[in-house]
Order: sequence, then C-alpha cells, then structure tokens
Amino acid sequence: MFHVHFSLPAGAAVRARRGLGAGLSAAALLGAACACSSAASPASGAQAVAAARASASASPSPRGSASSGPIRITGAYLPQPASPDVAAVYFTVADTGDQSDTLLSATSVPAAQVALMSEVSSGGAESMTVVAGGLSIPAHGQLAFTTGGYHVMLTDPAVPLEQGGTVQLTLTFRRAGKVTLDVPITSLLSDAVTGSDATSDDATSMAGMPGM
Amino acid sequence: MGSSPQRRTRPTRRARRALCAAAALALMMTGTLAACSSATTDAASSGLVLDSTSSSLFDGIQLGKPYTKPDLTLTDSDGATFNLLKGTTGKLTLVYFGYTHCPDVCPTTMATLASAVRALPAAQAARVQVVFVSTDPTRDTPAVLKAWLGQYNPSFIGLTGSFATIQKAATSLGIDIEAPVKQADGGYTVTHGAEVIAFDAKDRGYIVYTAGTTVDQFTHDIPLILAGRDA
Repeated sequence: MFHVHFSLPAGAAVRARRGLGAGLSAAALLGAACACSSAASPASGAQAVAAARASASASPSPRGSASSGPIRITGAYLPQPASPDVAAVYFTVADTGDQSDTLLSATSVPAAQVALMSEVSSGGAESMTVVAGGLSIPAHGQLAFTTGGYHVMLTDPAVPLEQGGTVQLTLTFRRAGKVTLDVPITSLLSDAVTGSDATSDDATSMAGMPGM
Repeated sequence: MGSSPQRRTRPTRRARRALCAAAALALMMTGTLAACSSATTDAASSGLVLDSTSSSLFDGIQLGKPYTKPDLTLTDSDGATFNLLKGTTGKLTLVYFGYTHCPDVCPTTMATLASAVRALPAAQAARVQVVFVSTDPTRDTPAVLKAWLGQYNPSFIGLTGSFATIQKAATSLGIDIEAPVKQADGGYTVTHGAEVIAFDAKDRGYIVYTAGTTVDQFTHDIPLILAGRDA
C-alpha cells in the first residue's frame, strides 16, 4: 500500500533542473546572515516564507493533513528513522487568514521530546539549532518544513517509529491554538532528494526573495 | 529504470556558469564562516579552485584542483582497523562526514546516496563505495554505525575513531566539522560540512556535491566518473 516515490535514473523524463546554483546562492546569503550565531533567528527570517509546493501532490506516498481555522497543515510525513533516537517530521503550514500566526511548540504521541529545529546551510556547512520563540506564518502565506530547512525533531520516542505506523503530532499556534494530525511514517528512503523534492523549491524561492 | 540518465535535459552553458559563480560565492562565504569558528577551514589555502571557465560535464561542482584522498586510518563498523586508501582502492569513493543522531541532513544524504546506488546497474554499483565518517565518534560506536548504515545499504562503510583524526581529514578536504555542542538550555548546535566528495579510481577527489543534490544528479555523474571522464 505504500508506494514510495524514488526517482529512478531517468524514467522521470524532463526534470526541472533548478537548483544547485540557486541553492548555493541562497546558502551564501544565509551564510552571511547566520554565520556566527548559534541560535536561529525566529520568525523574522524571510526564509520562513519560502513558498513550498505541496510535496504530497507529487508523490503517491501517504501524507497527513489537518486544519484549524485559517491554519492548514499539508504534506506531513516522517521518514522511518535509521536511528532509534531521533526522527524528523516534514510538512507545510499555510495561513489562509488575514492575520499572521506563530507556531509555538509541538508534542507527539507516542511521546518524544519534540523541538522545532532549523537547519541552516552556509556554503556547505550545515548548522542545526533549536528555534527559539516560535516560527511566524505570514497571513496568506506558508512555511515549509522540508529536508535541509525547518523540521520538527522527535528525540527518544517511546516506541520504535516504523514505516506503516503513524505519529500523532499536535502543533500549538498562538492564534489558532492546537492542531492535531496523524503523520504517516514513510520509508527510510523517502527523504531521498529527488528532482521534485521540496528542498529545491525551497532554495529557489529563497534565492528569489528580495530583501532577505 | 533502464533509460540512460544522460538522456534527460541538460542545463545550459549559462546555467553552468551561473552554478560556478554561485559556488564560488558560496565558498567565499564558507571562508567567512570559518573565520569565526574555532575549526577553521580556509577554502583558498586548502587548494579549492573552481573550474569556472569551461562548462562542466558533471552535475556536481567540479574542482579545478582535485583533493587527494586522505591516508586516513580509523575503525570500521565491524570494529576492525580500516585505511581509506587501502580499503577503497580502485573504487569510485563517495565520502561524507556526518553523525547518526542527525535527524535531517545526514539521513537525507544517506537516503539519496542509497537510492542512487540502488538505481545504478549492478556492474556500476559494484564499483562505487560510499564511506560515512562519523563527526560524533563518541556516540557513533562501530555497532551504532553498523545498525544505522546497514539500513541504507550494508555495503556502505562507516568509520569512527578519534575526533582529532577525523577533523584533520575533513579539513584536508575543505570540510568544516565541529563536535556537537550542548547549549546551556539543553539544546545543542551541530555544525558539519554536508558535502559529498567523489574520488575517482585514481584517488582524485575532483567533484563536490552539496546538500540537496538529487538522486538523478548522482546517477548522472557516477557513470561518467567510472568511465574516467574528467572534463
């Protein structure tokens, strides 16, 4: 029942070749902004606004979604972790309302330590930090949690997280309150970067973002 | 499967030049970053020269001056002594520095490499060796590495040992790694270079892949490197 989407050599016809260049320049810009800080700047970063395409639409893999008021969560998945101690959840949060909101925190069932994390790439060096103070979701905008960017990190889950299972994730927003969704656990290899991966969308959007 | 990776659309020359320019900029920024961290990696002094004049054959970033495969002796995931030069002789070797408690970029990179190797014809896959060198050797014991890497591909080699030895090897490849740092608030910061470096059968590390490189980009380049192409 789980059709995991990997890109096999080239059956995949024309593939958007965005990227590497745009990604690198985004990395360089971020590097300039983040070089010496040990804590990610919370909400203000324009990278937060990166317009992610719903990866769910490009993949037959199961994805979780939920909404509460103007907040919509889509494309949620958790690649089965290779480590028993740590896993990452990816999704997109959209705010369809006229007021911005802030994602403050998250909890999970099965229980785990849950943290909002930011992965910042600066010229090849990856730096991962806990996001302090929450993440802003702009009015009529969205925030993508994708590989190489933001993710919700689950540490020391109470039970092994295995493909085919689900994790119940509750996200707490300042305005919208709590949003609970079932996040499917997808294959170990489901976070492999493919041409349709949201990561490149993310990087491209960031690079094209004026004034960040 | 089956159809050749070369058949897909190729980036234009202009795109490739832009890539080189972007790479150069990114590397300059790396230099800036390195300046304010304790483990400095000076891209310029480590011999990283980008081939910015001609369009590259590869999807990875081709270096004008290749790295030399380090004569690195560590412990493998079976607990045996392993020398990188002797243990990977004649193979296209993809070297990555990371750690198993990493939730995001390390699993993503391993999943991407595992998917790429899986997509290659068996005869090509047999000539490719992925080597994962731990940047967190205290927690990444041989047993932990074996359990972690084995899920991606049991043929992947995991290495652990003294952090100083590992850091020295990383630095020689222009990769900045630091031991995980616990913060006062209980969180932690981890910084590590996320590049994969490809060494050809002659131990020349002349192509670098940054985080976010796709399965297709690896499967595009690997047959070219195996064929001995370097321009």
